[in-house]
Amino acid sequence: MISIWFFIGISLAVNGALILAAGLYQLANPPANPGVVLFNLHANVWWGALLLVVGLVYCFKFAPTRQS
Amino acid sequence: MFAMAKVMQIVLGWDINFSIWVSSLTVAIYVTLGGLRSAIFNEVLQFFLIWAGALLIPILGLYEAGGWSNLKLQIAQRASEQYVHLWAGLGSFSNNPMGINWVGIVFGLGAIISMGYWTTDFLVVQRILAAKDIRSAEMAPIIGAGFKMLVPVIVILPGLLGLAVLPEKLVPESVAAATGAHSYNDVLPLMLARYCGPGLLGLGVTALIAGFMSGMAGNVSAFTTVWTYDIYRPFFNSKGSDQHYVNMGRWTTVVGVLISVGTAYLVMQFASIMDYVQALFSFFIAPLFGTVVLGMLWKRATPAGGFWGLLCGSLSSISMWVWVKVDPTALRYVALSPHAKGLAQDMYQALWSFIVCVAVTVVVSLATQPMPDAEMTGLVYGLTEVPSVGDLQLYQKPLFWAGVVLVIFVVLNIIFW
Repeated sequence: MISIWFFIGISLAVNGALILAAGLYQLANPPANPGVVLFNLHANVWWGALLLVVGLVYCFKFAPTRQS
Repeated sequence: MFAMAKVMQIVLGWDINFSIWVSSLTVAIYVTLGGLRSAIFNEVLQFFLIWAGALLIPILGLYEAGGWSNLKLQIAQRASEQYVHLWAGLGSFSNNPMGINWVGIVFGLGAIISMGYWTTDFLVVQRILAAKDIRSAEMAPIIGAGFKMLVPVIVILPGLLGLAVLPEKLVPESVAAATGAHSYNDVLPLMLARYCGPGLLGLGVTALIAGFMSGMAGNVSAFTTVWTYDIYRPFFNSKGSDQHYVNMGRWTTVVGVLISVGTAYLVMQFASIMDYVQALFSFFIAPLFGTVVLGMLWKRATPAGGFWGLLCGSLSSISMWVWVKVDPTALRYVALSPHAKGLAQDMYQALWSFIVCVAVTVVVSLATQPMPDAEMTGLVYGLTEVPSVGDLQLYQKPLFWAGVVLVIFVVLNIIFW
């Protein structure tokens, strides 16, 4: 049986990758009107990266091949 | 359901009615097809999404406010410093924004509503019944209590931040509906839209929707289980096939979702979601807690005592609510103060309904035939052999972790006194 932690890892990694990609795109092409407060902190870059790393750790640690 | 629709309305700009029905349909599909297993599985996945999406709001909010000390100063200037204290203003009803005193908080909210929620809400109980062994069952509420103490970080702190940094003043739901202003219920989605751009906004919306969906799915699956296994099978049809009960469960899920839709519209009549939830808890959870505690701990309690106690407790609470609805000045009698406000009413209603329930249960039980001990085995604490968690290391024992949670709880109360 595949561990639920593996699916949690996938969920965090996919969300993290999408957020990081959106953040990097905005970093390279800053919008004229960001529409959010504290845009200069680029939260989507570091938060996306954090989720991606945590998600990948979970995916690796609880991978079905390692569990079996 | 209402909270979920609110997120869709504010962040996505969808119509509130459309949002309510879309979210209902989604929950109905996955609970109907997957049942309890899918509900619990989704809850675990959603738990991580909730934290991943919601934790950024207090982090960025505190940065914008200039830290906790500056946040307290700003709240004191824009509202009242009492918003950041747990106990300091509870000496009297007029010293805190909730309009309540320590008696209502300690006995109404703490001893009755909170303990009642943890012991009688079937959503909670069902998860513990699904545990693989006694240690897991004992650890479940302890782990839950640990995380429950973190919930204010993503629920209460954004509200406080909203009080300090949002340019507009939030109003009760009824005023918002009439004026078009934002209500107290809108604060979390408003803060989300304030800080989160593309990518993060998607995750934040997913987090909020996941949280509300998880709660609703859990309640609907609990409702389905109670109806199918505890009411329908023993009292209406005890000889059905497994497939028959599965189908009954699925139809009950649909009914449960439709009831949720109805309640979503009912919430609009209350000042806030919190006001609505606490009112419901005072109607049902508080007297049920009295019935459950007496039934579990007192072998002299009888079925008739339990039934009449629960009925009178619930009716007394609902009667007090109707009384205050018809005559708002009656709040001074229910909550024992002319300075009491809405939430104080809920806490005191809970307290009174618990007392009525216990009193009626004791009187009726003593006047009716007691149940023989043989029939109470496994139901009453004194007549039941409680299995041991076994010989474990100290750090593996539930009692140890309960102590850790208790110490953290006390420390937090002192810090935020």
